[in-house]
Amino acid sequence: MVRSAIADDSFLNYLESFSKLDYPTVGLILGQPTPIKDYIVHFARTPPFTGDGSNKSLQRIADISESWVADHARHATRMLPGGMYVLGIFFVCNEDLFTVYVSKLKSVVNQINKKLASNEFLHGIPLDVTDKLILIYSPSSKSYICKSYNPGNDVISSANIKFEPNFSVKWLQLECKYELDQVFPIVAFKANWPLKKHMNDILKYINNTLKGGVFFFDGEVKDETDSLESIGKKRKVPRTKLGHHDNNEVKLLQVTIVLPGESISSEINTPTIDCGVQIRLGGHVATKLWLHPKATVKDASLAIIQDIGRSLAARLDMHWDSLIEEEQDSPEDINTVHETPRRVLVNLPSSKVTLSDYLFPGEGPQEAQISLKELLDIDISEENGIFDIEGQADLTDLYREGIEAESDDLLQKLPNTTNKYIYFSGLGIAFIVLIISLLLHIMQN
Amino acid sequence: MPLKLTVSQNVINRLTNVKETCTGNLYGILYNNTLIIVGLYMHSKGKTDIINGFPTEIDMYGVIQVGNEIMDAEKVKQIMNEVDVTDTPLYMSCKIGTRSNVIEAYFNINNRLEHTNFEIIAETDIYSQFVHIRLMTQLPFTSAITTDSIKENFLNLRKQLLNGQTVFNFPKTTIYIMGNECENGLVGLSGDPTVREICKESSDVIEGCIPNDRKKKGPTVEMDVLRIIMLKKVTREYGLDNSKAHAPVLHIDKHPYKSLMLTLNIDALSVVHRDEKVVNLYSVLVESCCRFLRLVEGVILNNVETCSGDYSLISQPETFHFFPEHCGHFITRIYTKRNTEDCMEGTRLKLHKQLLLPLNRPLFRRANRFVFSGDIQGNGLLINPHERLNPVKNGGEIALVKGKYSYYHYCQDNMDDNGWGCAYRSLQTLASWFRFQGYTNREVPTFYDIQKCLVDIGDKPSNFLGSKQWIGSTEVNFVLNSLLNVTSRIIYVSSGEEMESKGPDLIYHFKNHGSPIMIGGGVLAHTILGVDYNSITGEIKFLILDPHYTGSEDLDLILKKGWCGWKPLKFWDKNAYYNMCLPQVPTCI
Repeated sequence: MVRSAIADDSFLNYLESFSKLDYPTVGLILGQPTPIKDYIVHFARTPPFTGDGSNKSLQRIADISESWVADHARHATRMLPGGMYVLGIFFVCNEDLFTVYVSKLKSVVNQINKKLASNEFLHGIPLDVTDKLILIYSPSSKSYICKSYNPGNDVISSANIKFEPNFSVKWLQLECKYELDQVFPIVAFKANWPLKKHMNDILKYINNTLKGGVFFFDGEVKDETDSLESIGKKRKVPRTKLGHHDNNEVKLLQVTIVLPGESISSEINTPTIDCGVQIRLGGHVATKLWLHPKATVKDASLAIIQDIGRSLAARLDMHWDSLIEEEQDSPEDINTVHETPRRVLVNLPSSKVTLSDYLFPGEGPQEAQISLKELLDIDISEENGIFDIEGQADLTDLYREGIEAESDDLLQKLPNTTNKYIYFSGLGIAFIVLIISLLLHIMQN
Repeated sequence: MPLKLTVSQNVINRLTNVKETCTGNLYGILYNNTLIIVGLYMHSKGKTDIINGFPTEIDMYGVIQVGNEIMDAEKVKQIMNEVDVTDTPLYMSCKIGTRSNVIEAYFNINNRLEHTNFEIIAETDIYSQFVHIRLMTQLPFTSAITTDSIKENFLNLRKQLLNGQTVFNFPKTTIYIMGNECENGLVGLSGDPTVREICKESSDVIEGCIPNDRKKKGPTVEMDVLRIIMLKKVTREYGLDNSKAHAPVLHIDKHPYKSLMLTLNIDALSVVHRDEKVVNLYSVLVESCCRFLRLVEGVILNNVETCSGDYSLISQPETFHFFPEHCGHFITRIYTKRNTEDCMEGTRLKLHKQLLLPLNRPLFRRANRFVFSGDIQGNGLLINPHERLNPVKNGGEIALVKGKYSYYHYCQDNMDDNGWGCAYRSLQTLASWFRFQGYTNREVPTFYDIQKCLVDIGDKPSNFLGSKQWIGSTEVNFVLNSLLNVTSRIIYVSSGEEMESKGPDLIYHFKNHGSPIMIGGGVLAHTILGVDYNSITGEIKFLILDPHYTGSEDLDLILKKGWCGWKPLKFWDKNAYYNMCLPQVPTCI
């Protein structure tokens, strides 16, 4: 079957906008694959290459750095909700790339897939679709050609892409807040592992446990093969949440995940072990994702698992990148608290779908505006385009919790005494109020 | 409206036999303004509490005083204060009489004892009104190995159960009981069904103690056990605004420490009325899990505190549910590896006394555990096939095997012993009886075990091992003695006709020992499970379990073809001699 994709025709204008440049443009096609066709939600050009000082700007297709584009794909994937992927790449260029630069095209796609596969928790490659679309837009003829490349068997086949005026998908919207609240004792012999390695284990653990979960959609449990459309009632999403979009109804489903009981890892076969480190996870991952109307319950469950995994992996990656080397593994420091960046949702200009960005503690919407411009090539005004959905941890709270966890024996009784104090002072105040009101009463009489 | 009082026949029976002055607690279930007292627990030195060993919904409702002294009003009041589930605690007095004890009941209403009448209810009638729920799940438990830390972590576990994130599910169904704060407390079922209705609705959710035998009433109590598993919600409702919520944070604590890491295998029982709404089970199940956690916490703390720093002595706790005869309710106990049967003897003795149970046989050893139909393991042999037989009418006295045994016969375990293994099989049936009653933890011996034992004690030469030689009642006696430490009485008859005269001996054996008998001799070996003896006419019938059956474990076929059934005297060959091996049951607990 010929692979086909569909997008709003406004994206043609976007592609056309690069025709004035005197060098070729490369970028990413983002969207959701379905068994019938791919729904494209966004085109984002790869920012101009800045990695290498010698070549100020790229002049020819051959100069395109594969790893630069692949890196862009990785960054863009981090910003996609579960169920959305980098579907392919586009070029704005007058040359016939499929005949002249076919090996270059292939190598870009290969690099992207390699990069996206390097962190399994990013879920960068759809499970059953390894093909990537390659779209070439020729500004001179205002025409385009689309093909699909399968890096697995190295075959380029024809593909269909359609730009439809006012194209809109009846997206189903899914929401959930996954709570992280668990302590992971680390066996002594692993205590010297870098934190990154431990967190990889924990991500794997979270991924696996979620796979064993039961997913409720609007409080209902359905068969895997049931379609999401069969669930629940339709709700109107408030306009304010959606910004300036049309009045189409969006079906919003609340997702509840329920996990069965679990046993201690089978690695541990004695009831007592020596622990070197303890990692405690707190906070939550807010998930909001969008699925095509034919999606099944199974598709939805997988997309949720992917979203949680991808979101955690993305912010951990960003967090590691932000640390200087010593911070990654500092033996003197007994207790540390790592605040990962928080998720914000971003409205796409041409669709109801929201993408994500991550902001470090202290960062605000301005920072998001910069990265959105750079990575997704969209201009967002902060008032109606960026939504903080997770909240920032209160640092003082965090450190207090940290201290409590460290020396709970000492501090265990402290809260009780304060409570008692509050209780007694409350009683005292109540008593004084009573006396005063009695006095007033007597005086009035 | 005053409570209606009903007392379990089992409680009455136990109280009528008490001859010593003592006091105790009364435990009951309340439903629809009727209080059913199902259990008691006599006080002994040292503060002990059994409540967490009872199924949830059985609570302490009052006190009992046994003895002829005038009641000590102050003391009674003091104990009554412990009753927190009702405003009108029950006081029962049991006056020791020469013939039988006199039992009276009073409700404490506004600090005055008001005499009340009560009905006595049979065990079967209790469990036709109520069902058991068995809640199962696994919870990981990690804690530093200190008393304080363990206590705190258990407290946290219990707190987590109460935070509304707990969900219950009838396994193999999509029926879920959600927290009360949820819009719909019950998912997967419409309406507001009762426990009775859900039992009817889905045969999947129910498991009885007697599989495939739901119509016929045997001597054991027929019980329905609903199995429920516990799950945990890991998401929060999106709409709920929680200002404390924040993005993921990692706390790294680099303190080296010794950690306890256990998987708590939650296995908690509760009792609910069949007319109870399924939705209302939520709080019962949460409490059931809490009770279990309190029970296991005590065991783990004890394990840690008594190991004096030797952490290799800490072991995974294991749960056992007991449903002792004469008790009429479940008692849940948790043992660790260190709690060997020998070292637990004192504890068991105390427990027998506290529950006013017989002191001559084991009831709380591991092997006495109640086997739920869901987890009948391994061999899949038939248990007590004779219970499905129609009763015989001989006008005589009937005495039968007491307790459970497995039916061993030819050709089991892919072993072709047809023609020579019958005495081995009979011996295995006997051994299974001793295991079921808790006298031994030893697995039922295999043919190899039996032959090796006989070689080891010098009864047989070494080439006996692996042979197909017969054994007789003497060898059965030797093996029981060597492997199970059981002595047997051997009765010899010179001809089958003489079996008639052994009626009184057999009646005595089944009444006082209750173990199955192996009979061998000149011809075939059989197992005798009971006797029906008319002492006036001398007429006698034998309940025989025949090890020569070679088919599959097909109960109907076995009963129809008489492989297990009542046999007349002429069943025995009058030209052959017989030896009977009557295993004598030791007095122990």
